[in-house]
Amino acid sequence: MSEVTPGSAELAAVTNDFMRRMSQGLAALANAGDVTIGSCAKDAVFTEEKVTLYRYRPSEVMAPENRVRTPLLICYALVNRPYMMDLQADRSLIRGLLQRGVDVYLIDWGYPDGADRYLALEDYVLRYLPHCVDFVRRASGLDRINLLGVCQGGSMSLCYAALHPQRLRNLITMVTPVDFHTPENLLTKWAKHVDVDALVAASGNVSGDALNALFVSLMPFRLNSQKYVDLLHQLNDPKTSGAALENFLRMEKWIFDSPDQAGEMFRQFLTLFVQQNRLKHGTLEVGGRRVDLQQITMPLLNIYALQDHLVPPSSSKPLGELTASCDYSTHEFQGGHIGIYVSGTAQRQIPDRIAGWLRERDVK
Amino acid sequence: MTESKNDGSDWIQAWIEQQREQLRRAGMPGADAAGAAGGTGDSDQYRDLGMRWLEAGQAYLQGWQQFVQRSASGSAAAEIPLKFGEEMLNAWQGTWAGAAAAGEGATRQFADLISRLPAMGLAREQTEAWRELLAAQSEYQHLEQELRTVWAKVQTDALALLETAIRERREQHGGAAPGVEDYRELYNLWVECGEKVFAQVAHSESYCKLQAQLGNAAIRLKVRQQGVLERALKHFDLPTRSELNTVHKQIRELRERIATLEAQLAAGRGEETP
Repeated sequence: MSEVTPGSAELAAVTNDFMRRMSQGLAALANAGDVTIGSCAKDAVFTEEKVTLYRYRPSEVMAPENRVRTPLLICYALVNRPYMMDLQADRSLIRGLLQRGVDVYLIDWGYPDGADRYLALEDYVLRYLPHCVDFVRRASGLDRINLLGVCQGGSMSLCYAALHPQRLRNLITMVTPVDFHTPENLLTKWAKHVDVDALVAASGNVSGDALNALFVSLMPFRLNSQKYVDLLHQLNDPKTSGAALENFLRMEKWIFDSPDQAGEMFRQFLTLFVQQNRLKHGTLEVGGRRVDLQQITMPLLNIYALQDHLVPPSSSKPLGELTASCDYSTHEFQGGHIGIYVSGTAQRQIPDRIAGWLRERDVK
Repeated sequence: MTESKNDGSDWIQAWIEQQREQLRRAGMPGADAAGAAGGTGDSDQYRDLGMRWLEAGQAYLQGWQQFVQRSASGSAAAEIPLKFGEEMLNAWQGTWAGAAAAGEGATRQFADLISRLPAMGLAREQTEAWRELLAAQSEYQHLEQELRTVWAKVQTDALALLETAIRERREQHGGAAPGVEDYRELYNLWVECGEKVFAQVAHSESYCKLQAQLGNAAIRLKVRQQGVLERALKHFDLPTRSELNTVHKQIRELRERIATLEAQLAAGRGEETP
C-alpha cells in the first residue's frame, strides 16, 4: 500500500487550477495578431553604408516660433534597435519631444553583417557620427547642435563631444555607462575574464541572440519565466485590454530584435571601455586621438534610472566630476533601463525635462 | 485519504518537496556521466559491447545449424529458405540493435582512443585537427557540467530560502495562516527567492570566472570546428571565412587610405575635417 504524502491532494488541486489558468491564457495568446512599431512620421535624410539618419516631421501643434531652434540628434546604442525611442503613440520619447517643439533626428545604425566585422570604434565615433552631426549642422544652418546619447550611444557621444566640443551646443546622456567598474555592474564582472580577442577572432561579428541570452541570464527567474507567467495570468483577467497584450508583444519584438555587433567595434568596446575602464581614466584613444572628458565644456544633462540593472546609477553618476561642463545637471528617474522610455511616468517626466532643459539653453 | 493541517499549508510543503525531487532527478544524468568518465565505467562498456556481439554471433550460428539440420532431415524444402531467411534477419536485427545501443559508448571510447594516439602518416594533419577538436569538446562539456551543478545549487538554495520565507510569514500571522494564499503567490515568492540567491552567486568571483571559462572554452571549440570545416571547404575549392576576412581587411585598408587622401585634399582647400 502506497503512502499518501500530506498535502498532495491539495497540491494537485492548486496545480490544476494554476495550469488551467495558464492554458486559458495560452488560448487567448493564440488569438493575438501582429503588432506594428513606431508612431511618428519620419524621413531618411542621409545614409552612409548601413547607417541611416532620420528626421522626424515636426509637430504641427507647436507654432514654429515656439519651437526649440537647435535640432537634437539622438545617438542610440548599437545593441538594440532605435525604434525604442518611438515604440508606439503612447510610449514615445520622440513624440513627446516633437510635441514640445524639439526638432528630432535619429541615427539608425542598421544591421551589421559579415562584411562589417572590421568596423571599429573610429568608424562610429570619427566617421558615421560626425557625418550625421555635420549633416544636421548643414541642414539647420547652425554651427552647433544638440546631441542626446542613449546607453552605449551615450558613451560614444561622450567620445565625440570630447573630440569635437565646438560642434555641440548641449549634450544629454541617458542611462549612459561612464565608470564600468562599480560594484553593482554585473555585466563588467562577467566580462572580466572573457578572452575578447579570441571571441571576436572566432566569431567575427558577435551574435545579437547571444547577447540577448546574456542579458536575460542577468535575472533568469524573472526574465525566462515570471514575465510570461504574469502575461498568461493577465490574459485571464477580463479587465486586461487587448492593448496590454499588444504592448507586451511589441516589447518582446524590440527586446529580441537585436542586431549582430560588428566584431572589431565589440572587441574594442569590451576591452577598452568595459574591461579597462579607459573612458573614466582618460586613457581611451580613438583613431590615435585621446578622449579627454575634460574637453567637454558645454552644458550637460545626465539622466539615469535608479533601478537600472544594466547600467547602474553608480556607473552614470561619476560623469559630473569627469567633465569640465560649465552647466552640469542630472535627472534621476524612478525606474529601470527600459522603463525610462516606455513607462507612463517616463512619458510624463522625460520629454518635459529634456525639452525644458534644451529650451533654457537654446540659441537666442 | 490525506491528512491536512488546519492552516492548509501541507500543499505548499508538498510543492517544495516536488521541486526538490525534480532537482534530484535532473542531477542523475550528471552523476551517470561522472561514472562513465571513471575507469570502471570504461571496462563495463567494453564488456557490454562484447556480450552483445557474442549473443548476435550465437544467434547467427544457431540459424545455420537449424538450416543444416532441416536440410539433412529432408523436411519441407519450400519452407526452409523462408524460415531460414526470417531467422537470419532476426539474428542480424539483434546484432544491429545491440550495436546501436552500445554505439554511443563505443563512439566515446573510440574518440578517447584517437585522442591519445600520436598523429602520423598521410592523415597526420587531419588527425591532429580532429584530436584538437575532440579535446576542445571535452573541455567544454566538463565546464558546462560544472556550471549546471552551480545552477542546480542555486535552485536548491532557492527552495530552502522559500521555506524560510514561508515560515516567517506564518509566524507573522501567529502560525495560523498558511503563509501564502495560492499557487501564484507561491510561484512569485519562489521567483523572488531564486533571484536573491542567484544575485549573490552571479556577483561572486568564482561564478564570474567559471562562466567566462565556459565562454572561452566555447570559443576554442568553435575555432577547432572552423578549422576542420575550412579544410574541407578548401578541398572543394570553396571560399572560406578566413579568405573573406583577408578580403575585408584589404578593403578596409584601402578605404582608410582613401579617407586620408580625402582629408588631405579637404585640408588643402581649407575645409574642416571630421
